[in-house]
Amino acid sequence: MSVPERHFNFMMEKQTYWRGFKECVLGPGWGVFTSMTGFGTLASEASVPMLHALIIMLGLWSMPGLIAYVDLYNSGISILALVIATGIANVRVLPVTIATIPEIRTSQKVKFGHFFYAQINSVNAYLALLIAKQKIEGRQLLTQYFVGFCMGTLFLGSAGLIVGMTLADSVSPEILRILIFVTPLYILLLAASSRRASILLSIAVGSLVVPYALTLSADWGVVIGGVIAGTIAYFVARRWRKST
Amino acid sequence: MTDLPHWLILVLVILGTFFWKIIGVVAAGKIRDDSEVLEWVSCVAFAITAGIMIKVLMASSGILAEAPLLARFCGVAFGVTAFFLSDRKIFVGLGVGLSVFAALSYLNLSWPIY
Repeated sequence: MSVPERHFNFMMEKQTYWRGFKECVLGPGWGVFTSMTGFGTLASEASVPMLHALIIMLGLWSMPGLIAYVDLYNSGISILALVIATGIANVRVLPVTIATIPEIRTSQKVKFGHFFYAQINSVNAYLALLIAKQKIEGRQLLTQYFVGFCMGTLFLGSAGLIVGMTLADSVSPEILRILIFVTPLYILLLAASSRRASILLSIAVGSLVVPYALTLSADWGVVIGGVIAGTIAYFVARRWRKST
Repeated sequence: MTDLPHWLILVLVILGTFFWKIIGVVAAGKIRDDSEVLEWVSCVAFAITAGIMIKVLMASSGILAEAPLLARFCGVAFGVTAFFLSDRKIFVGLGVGLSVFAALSYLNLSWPIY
């Protein structure tokens, strides 16, 4: 490859990263900012220090697990139950990863970079990737767009968290209550936006069973209640699907 | 909570989620994202997520607990109802739920039977 060609490729790559980042911060990234602001107020209310909250946000990078974590962190739950409950609440990253990786990998072999892509991925980034696929030619450039977009979500997510934690210390309790109320309600509605009967049934059964199970066992109520509720919903929906 | 250092708890919790990402990367292209196992796992995940959200909203022990239970209950109920009535528009559900919660919290209303 000649020097001008290399320079051209370098400029193209730089532009595609930037394009992904820009399209994120000028659009869907603000949804991430808002939900992370809500999470920041929750974390502050649970007395989680800012650096701790930032690390857990970047490490988990999936809202249901983040809320589960701050809710259960100070509840006296065992470490194993905390790890399992947070991990299971975040299981939605599995189908998103399975769907995303084939779209961006340049090799069929598992590479270190694929784990990095899985770590920074989110539902927003996957949806943006599907849209970008129609506009950007070439797997390499598409991957760069994806990474740029993900960096935008991480940037706005971190900013939202810092704003939320700062706001929590400076606003009145009445306003703080409303800010705290936003994120769990948003996650509940986001989950309920699924059109699958099994998922809607899981939400309904889980809303009843998990809080009740928590009163029976503070340690394992979330995990056991969730497994029971999810299994009931799965079998009822499956039976209903087969009978129609 | 045990006396484990905070950083170790953080690492364990992060690994708990990263586990799914490892499976996802290794299984990408090999298993279908609409398989029965994934369907069951998703059901459990959504049940846990919904259960925790309801617990945070209705049985919180923090500053949210200072709002009347009626305000929290009506905020969730009206929000969810508006969401479904508006053909699942999240911001409609969120707007209605928050408005009802804020109004009833401000009025400090509680259940009539108390």
